[in-house]
Parts: sequence; C-alpha cells; structure tokens
Amino acid sequence: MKGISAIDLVLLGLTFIVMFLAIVWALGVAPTEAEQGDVQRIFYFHLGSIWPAFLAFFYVLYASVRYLMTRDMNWDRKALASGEVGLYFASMVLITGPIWAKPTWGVWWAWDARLTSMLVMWFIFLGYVLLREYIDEDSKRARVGSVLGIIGASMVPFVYMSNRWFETQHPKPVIAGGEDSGIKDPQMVWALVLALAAFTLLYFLLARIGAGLFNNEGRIKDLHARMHLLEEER
Amino acid sequence: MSYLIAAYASIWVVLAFFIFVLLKRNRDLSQQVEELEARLTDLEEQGGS
Repeated sequence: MKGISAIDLVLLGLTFIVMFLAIVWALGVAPTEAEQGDVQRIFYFHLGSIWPAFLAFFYVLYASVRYLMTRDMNWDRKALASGEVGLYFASMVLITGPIWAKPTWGVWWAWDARLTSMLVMWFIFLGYVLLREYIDEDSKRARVGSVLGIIGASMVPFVYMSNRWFETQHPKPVIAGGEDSGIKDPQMVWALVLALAAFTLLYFLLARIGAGLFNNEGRIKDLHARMHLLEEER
Repeated sequence: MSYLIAAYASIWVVLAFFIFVLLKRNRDLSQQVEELEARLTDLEEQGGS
C-alpha cells in the first residue's frame, strides 16, 4: 500500500497470521479444561492482554525518562502512543477478567490486592491519556504527563507481584508461580504462547501507528506556527 | 462455542478495519506534512528574494 512503511505492512501481516493461529489454538485445538469447561479458554486472551499492557507501561517509563532528560517532544509522543495502547490492553484485562470470574468464582469482582492494584493502575493511565486534553502548553503537558507516566509504570511490579505477596481471590501466577502452578497440556501451552505473541505484535503495530500519528500531528502544528510567523513578517 | 468463534471473528474484523483507518489517516497526515513543508519552502524563498 502506497505511503505505508514496509515495516508496518510486515507487522500487520504477521499480527493477523499469528492472531488467527492463536484463535484457532485457543478455541479449537487446546483441550477443554476439566473443571471449568469452555469458559477457561478466555484465559489465553486474558493473560495474552496483560503482558503487552505491562510492556506498554514500561515503555512509557523509558520514554518519559528520556523526555525529561532531553526535552525532545518525540519521546513524549512515543510515550503517549504506548500509554494509550497499554490502556486498551489493560481495559481488555479488566473486561475479560470479570467475564471469566463470574462462572468460576461466583462473583464478578473481588477487592483483592491483584484486582484492586490493577484497577488503580488503569485509572492512573486513564488520567495520563485524558490529561493531554486539559493542558494547552506543550512543554507543561509533556512534563506533567511524563511524571504521571513514571508513577503509573512504577505500579507494574506491584501489580505483578501482588498475588505472590498477598492472599488473593485471583489465582497464583501461571508462569513462574511455583510447583503447583502452570499449565501441563502442551496444546494449552501453545495456545498461550501464540496468544502472547499475537498480542505483543499487535502492541508493536498499534504503538508504531500511534507514534507516527502523534508525530505527524505535532509536525503539522509546528509547520502552521512557522507559516503564521512568516506571513506576519511579510 | 460457535457463538464464541463468531464473537472473536467479528472483533477481529472490526479491529482490522480500525487498523486500516489508522494507517490511512497516518498516510494522509504524512502527505499533509509534505505539502506544508513545500509551501513553507516556497514562502521562505519568496521572502528571501
């Protein structure tokens, strides 16, 4: 497609192929879980979404620190693009979680350390994205956004470790969660690996497109300002 | 189970459409940047001459 970079097209193609395989494995190939039945299949997309959300928030941390060190607006735009995509994935986690919880726990929600810390982190990043609409001055918006992004991203380790540190309704970790945890069936492992790969590719694709959009919008704003100055001088 | 497959398939159709809209918008913005840069260069040359 004209005007779209080769990297974006390759990422797009790979994302759709791997996501197709992930859906086939999760819904068709992986066996039905003995205790929970078909509802357990939501697990592949629930866990598949949390990993890119964490990745996105860590990138917000990195890009925000880079912005504060260099004051280069490109870093702020990259951080914002990653933060927005991270918020989408975190929203997917918070939507799929209760859908899975109701038939298995009997309740939609439990105010345990994992779910509550996840919700707090989601609100911080919702604030991070919405904040951009309320501060007009570019440098102030980027500065405040960077600080908020760093605060939000520093919650990731707490959210990740919360079900190890506290007794929670949320189950113990599937990956590196101890001897009793983890999935044993190889087809279930494949379904999880494919889901993780598909959502990671989707994160890279959406973050690249988002950063490109913000970058172009920023450049257009700068060019209009320069043209306005030139026209005033004449 | 067939409803689950239909749900995932429709989500992916919507997502694919959304990604193409974003890519197209990005391409349009890139063209707009090029046009503005060309106009700005013209204005600067006219101002210099």
